[in-house]
Amino acid sequence: MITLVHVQVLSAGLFCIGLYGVLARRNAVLVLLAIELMLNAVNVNLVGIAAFVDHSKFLGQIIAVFVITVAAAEVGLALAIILRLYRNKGTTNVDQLNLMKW
Amino acid sequence: MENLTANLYLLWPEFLLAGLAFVVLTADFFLPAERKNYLALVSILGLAALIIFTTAFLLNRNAALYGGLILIDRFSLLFKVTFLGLGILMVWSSADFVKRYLSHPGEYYAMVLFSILGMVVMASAGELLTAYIGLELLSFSLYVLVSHAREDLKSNEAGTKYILLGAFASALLLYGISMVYGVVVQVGIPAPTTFEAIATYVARVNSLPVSFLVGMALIIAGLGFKVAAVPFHMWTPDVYEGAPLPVTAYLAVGSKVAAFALILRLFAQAFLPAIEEWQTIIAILAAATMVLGNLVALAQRNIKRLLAYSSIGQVGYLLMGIAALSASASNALILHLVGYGVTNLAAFVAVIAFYNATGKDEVADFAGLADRNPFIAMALTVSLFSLAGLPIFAGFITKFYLFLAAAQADMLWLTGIAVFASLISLYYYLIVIRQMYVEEAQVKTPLSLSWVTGGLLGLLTLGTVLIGVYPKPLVDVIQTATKAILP
Amino acid sequence: MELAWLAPALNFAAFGVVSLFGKYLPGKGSFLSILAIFGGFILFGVVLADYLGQKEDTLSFSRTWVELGVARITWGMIIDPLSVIMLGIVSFVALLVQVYSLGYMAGQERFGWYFAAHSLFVAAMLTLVLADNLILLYIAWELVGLGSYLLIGFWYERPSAAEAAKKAFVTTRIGDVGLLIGILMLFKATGTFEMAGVFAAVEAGHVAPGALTWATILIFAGAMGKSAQFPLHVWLPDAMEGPTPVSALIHAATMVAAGVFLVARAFPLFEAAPDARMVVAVIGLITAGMGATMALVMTDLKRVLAYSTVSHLGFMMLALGAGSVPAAIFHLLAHAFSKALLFLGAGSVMHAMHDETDIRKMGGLRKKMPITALTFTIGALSLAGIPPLSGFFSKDEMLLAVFDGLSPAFLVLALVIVLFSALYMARLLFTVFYGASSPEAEHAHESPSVMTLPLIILAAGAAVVGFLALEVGGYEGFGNFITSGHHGFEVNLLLTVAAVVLALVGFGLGYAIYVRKALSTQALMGQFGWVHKLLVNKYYMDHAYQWAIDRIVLVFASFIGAFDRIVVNDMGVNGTAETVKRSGFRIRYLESGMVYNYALAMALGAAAVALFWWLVIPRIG
Repeated sequence: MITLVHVQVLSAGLFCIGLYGVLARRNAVLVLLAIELMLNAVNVNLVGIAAFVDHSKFLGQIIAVFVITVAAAEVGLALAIILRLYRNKGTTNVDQLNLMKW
Repeated sequence: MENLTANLYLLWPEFLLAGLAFVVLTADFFLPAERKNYLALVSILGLAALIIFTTAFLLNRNAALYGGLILIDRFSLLFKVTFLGLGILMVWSSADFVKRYLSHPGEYYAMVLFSILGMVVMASAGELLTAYIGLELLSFSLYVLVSHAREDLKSNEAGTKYILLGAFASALLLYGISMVYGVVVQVGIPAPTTFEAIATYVARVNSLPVSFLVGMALIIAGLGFKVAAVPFHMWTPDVYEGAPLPVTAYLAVGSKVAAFALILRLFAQAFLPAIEEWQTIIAILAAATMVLGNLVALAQRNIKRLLAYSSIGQVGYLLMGIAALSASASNALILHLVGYGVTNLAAFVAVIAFYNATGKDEVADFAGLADRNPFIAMALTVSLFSLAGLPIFAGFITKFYLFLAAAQADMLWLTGIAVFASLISLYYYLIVIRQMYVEEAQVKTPLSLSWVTGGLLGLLTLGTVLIGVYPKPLVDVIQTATKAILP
Repeated sequence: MELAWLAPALNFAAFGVVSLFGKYLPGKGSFLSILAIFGGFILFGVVLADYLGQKEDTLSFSRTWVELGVARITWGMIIDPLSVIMLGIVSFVALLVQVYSLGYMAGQERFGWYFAAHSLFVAAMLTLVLADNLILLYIAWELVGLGSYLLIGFWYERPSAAEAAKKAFVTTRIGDVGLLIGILMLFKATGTFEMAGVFAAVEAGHVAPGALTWATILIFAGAMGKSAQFPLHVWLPDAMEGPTPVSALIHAATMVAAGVFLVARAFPLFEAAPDARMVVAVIGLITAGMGATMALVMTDLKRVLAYSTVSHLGFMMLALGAGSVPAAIFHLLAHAFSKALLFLGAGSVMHAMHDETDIRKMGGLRKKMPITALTFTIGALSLAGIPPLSGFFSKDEMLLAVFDGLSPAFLVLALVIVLFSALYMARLLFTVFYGASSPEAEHAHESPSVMTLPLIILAAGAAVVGFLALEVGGYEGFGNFITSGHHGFEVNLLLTVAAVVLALVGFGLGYAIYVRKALSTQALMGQFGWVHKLLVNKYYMDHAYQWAIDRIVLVFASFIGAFDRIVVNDMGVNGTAETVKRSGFRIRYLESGMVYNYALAMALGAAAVALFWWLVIPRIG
């Protein structure tokens, strides 16, 4: 039997993997990928809650649809900005983003 | 289930604003190059018309649309008008920058208008998802605006950092929302993500379960990012430094005011019954923010970074208002948001004026400004003194009211830290003032100031003094707004 | 009497007009400032006459400015003996200083701005003394600080002046932190900002003793900053960088008096919190002692006067701590006249000596500048406590208060300080004006009458004001005026005689050392034979006196000076500032520029918040 707990553990796991990716990855595009993973973890959580706990069964799914849409838009925008950075600087390595500090 | 279109007319202001944004955006394609700069005027006039329309239309209406998703009340009205006005000031202050550097001004102004739409939605949101959507709309527009100087490496870097960290923050926020949703829906409360439902849940339970607390913590992290609270503030100095100056000004003022409107509504309408549980942690965050913001500002050599850290410090005082949440704290908070907004904008516009004339933004470059252009120097001095909290300026009365609210809530330790932080801030403001009046300028040529920017600067400086000397009308309006969320 | 608010209003208006349009006006607008302050003085006369002509003790007028929820802030004023006296002192001394400045600052750049800043300062000060609620007082307090910043740093082209101005502003602001918190605490306990309301609540016992003591001490902290009490006194000597008339106004008569005024005004609080009163007395005593001993070793004319001011302010605080408002205010009055006189006289000397301030380079100026010398002598004698000048009366009142209200130890130390006061005053007087003429003083000449006239007026005041203390006919004495029921001038014979004797001894010592030595040197050169031997012996005796003083008193004084400079100033005050600055410099390195660091901070922050909630809150509940 799959219960809410399974789904939430999966969600938390995905979230933490994504978190690790954000913190550890050097390539900006991969950081973005990791953030997407985190957002999808949220979606899993939402759908799971909707399925198992919500009487009306739909609110979580609706929120998930919104999140998917917004995440897609965010990725498009982020890639555009990263692309511009790449065109100007020649690299997407976040370590190289150190023009401004302290 | 409510008829979908029954109350849709109440959203006319938002639709008109969106319409204005689209018009400005598409007009950019069709207009010949010389006419494009009229788009600034179009935006300003459009916004001004919207202010009048919105005030007249919504002044006496109170409604909760779609079961509480969007709240039309005095609170959202106050902020709507504020944001529209802020938009006007933003477009006005960007005029010189856009004319000089951008070939498609319509895109820029459209982004500003969309961001205002996002802010408006944030202030009217009565429910977590709606708030999130407004937040994202605002954020996206800001990401674009920050990266707008396409060839400038600093702008690219700022934009990249902002979007990566912003997306990260929104992921945290969303996870928090999902946790809260999960907890509240389990108890069977209908429309579980509305603030009202959350308040019902919080009032009902004896102690909040761990998953709710984790959810709240993540929501605070996500929103804290937006307002630059410590330790979620680290993007602020870099992004402020790299973004084009008018955008920095807009970030410093607009996104903070919008986010705080949301935070205020969220905490006052959703989390308030459990105030003893979250008061301490917000107070600690406030203290950390105040102290760190002001301490690091001491070491800054670049005026944009200095103002960035100074605004982080100011956020600390605002968080203090949240920690001490009550009717008078809410009044104080909104008053400080308005006063701080005007003052900070004045400071930034002075810096913008200086940058437009010289292209420099280090504190050392301000040497001798008093001789080169006494008006800019005076305006900057007035706004810095106001930020330091000196009497007769807006900063004193707004800060004082916040300190009072915190003292009334028995958090004297926090008030003490706040007063002390205010003292530290005086020091680095004085350094800038000293540069302008005491130091000799390297180059003694007088600085030119366009009528457009000069007029704006004069208006804002006047506002700073006016709020400081005669705050009564503003306070009265704010009190009605507070009654809407804290009856 | 309702028109008393015009006094500050006129000066604010003068500030506005002169700062904006001064360039286009004749005399750069200085006449406007003087007119405004003269108007203020006339108003004082009117208010005084009005007030004496009616029976009430205290009157107040107010209108609401803004209501912030439960807090109501008003513009209002109190007319009672304290505010009337201060109104008089401030407007009178300011008027004389402004007239004097016409001569002293003639030909200076930014002449107009000087008068504008002056007007701002005076306006703020007048608001301060008239304020009837704590917030208005605080606002005026801050504006007074701003005005003094502008005036001390007037010659901002000199880095030392700019630094001094900044130091003054920041140091007094530290005191202001305490003041604001104290005001907030009182508001929380009593629910109002109006002074009358707060005092009534305190007297009725509505405020918990612990909170009351703390709030009162914090309010005193504000007074410590403005009145240069230990350890916040470090800004005052440096503030001598400003033009000398500024020193006369700010550091003799008005701004530094603001702290004393605050304690006097808030005295019901101090009466109800004896611990706070003891703090005031102790700090006052320490300050008085430090100031007096340091004044003994300074060689800069204005610095000696600055440390003397610190010492006298300490004395006033001591009197307040002993429980006597009339004594402190009376000394404030006498000191205002006498010290302003001394500063203006110093300015006259500097004017003649082309801005030289080293007293070792001066001497015998009495012949070149008779009016300055005479008036200076009156001021010095007054502050040393020699009868029948005003200083004698006021010092006597203060010593009496200390005798009545505090343990004998305080009195003994106070008397020792009286001795020192006389000594350093004598030293200053004799070194500058008596003895042989120094080479630099060759071209000295008396100052123009626009400068000497105020000196004469102030000297007359310093001489005569003392008699206000006596009961004559229907007039019940100054003490009674301030606090009804207080006795007229009383004489505790033993105490008064002891004080006068000490003052005379101190003065005589000064004479012996600084005048007779010079005389002896001359005589030595002019005599020979057994007369010479006798004189040599005498010389030896003087030399012995000098040696004793050198080895004991002056070493002690230099030690105090060094202690003050190194420990209190560099480590304590500057040191704290340095620590704050350095930590700012170091923390900023957290901002590494790397995105993932930022993200890590955010993640850790969120985790910390969650953990805090989960684990800590249930424990502390």
